[in-house]
Amino acid sequence: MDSRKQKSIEAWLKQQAHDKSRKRRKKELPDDGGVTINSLMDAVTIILIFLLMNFSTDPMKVTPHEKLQLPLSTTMLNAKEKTTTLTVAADGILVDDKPVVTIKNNQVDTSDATSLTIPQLKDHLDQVVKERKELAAALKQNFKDIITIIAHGETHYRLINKVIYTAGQASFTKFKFAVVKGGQLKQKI
Amino acid sequence: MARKKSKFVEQVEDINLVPIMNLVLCLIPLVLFKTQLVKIGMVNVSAPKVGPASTKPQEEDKDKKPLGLTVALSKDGFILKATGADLATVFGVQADANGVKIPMKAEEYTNKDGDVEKITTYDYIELYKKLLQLREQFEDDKLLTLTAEPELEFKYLIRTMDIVRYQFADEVKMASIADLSEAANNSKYKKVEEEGEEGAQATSTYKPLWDQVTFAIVQ
Repeated sequence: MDSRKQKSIEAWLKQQAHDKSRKRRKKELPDDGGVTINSLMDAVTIILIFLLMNFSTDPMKVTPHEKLQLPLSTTMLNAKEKTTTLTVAADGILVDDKPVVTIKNNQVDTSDATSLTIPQLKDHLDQVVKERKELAAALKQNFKDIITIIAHGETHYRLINKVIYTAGQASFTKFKFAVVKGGQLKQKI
Repeated sequence: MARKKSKFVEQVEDINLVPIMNLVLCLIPLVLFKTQLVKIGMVNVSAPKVGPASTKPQEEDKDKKPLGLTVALSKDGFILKATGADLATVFGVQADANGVKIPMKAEEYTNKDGDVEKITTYDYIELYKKLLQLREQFEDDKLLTLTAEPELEFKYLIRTMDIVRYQFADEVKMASIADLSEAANNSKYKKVEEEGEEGAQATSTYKPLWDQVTFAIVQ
């Protein structure tokens, strides 16, 4: 009799323990069974902050394009200030993102092959310099004669020569070439 | 008497994050299109001079003739010329009418797939060694004129400027271009201490080799 009583007490205790653990487990689970998006939210916020930081700190924008692939370099200098930009792509020359001259096979379309000056580019740069000087005078600042040349890596030296000479004629005296940082010297060139 | 435990459980409502998520997910592609993931750097070039590469001796310093060094990139390799010194004597080599030649060199290049290709390219290491030798003899000279064949691609000039900009540290091995590449990417250059003005701390900069580069405009 005693052993039967003891067995029934043990069974009752087991049942109690089982019920307790079931209740606890039930409490831990969300009631509605919805998806937790907190971790996703964290990841997305980090990505957004990273992108916004990159977006706001670069003074110069170069959109990668098959006709404008900048040469790689090990330079440590960054693009710090906003200057007049002269883009020499495989199919044209742009000043401050405005197309000025077209290029075919590394030759300027309309210029005299023997002349170093590119007339259309010279006229456009003269106009830009005039506007910049007026603006600088109005703001009581000095005109910055710096030009950033964003050139396609496969542009021939002859064309680069002409572009630099023409920019020099339009009273630019300091030249900066835009490159992609982090290039390896062991690349295939 | 034991106090009866209250059965009231405070229900905490979760914040509804769905509108914020929608906003953030709209912002990401917008910013992604506008941002650029490549880092843009700058290479400074001095104002070019027109005509053949030559430097007039300055009036006040007639005894000290500037070197007037020119590095030309031809289809066969580099050609070094100087108006202020006989480079063939300096290097102890035979020079032709154009100057001291550094011929192209066969290099092994490992492509993205890991295959080794044999290519013929400019001997950048030899150019660096020769320029270092010149730097030791002409310490005050700073200007280097760079010129190239009209149809040579611009990227080769940038590469040459990468090589001639700073002096590599003594521990850098010069066996292959990969050694120089690793050294340049880890900024293993010689350093010089520059004294600051009164009270200012001394700053450390990299020792230049020929960091003032100008392009020769050839008519």
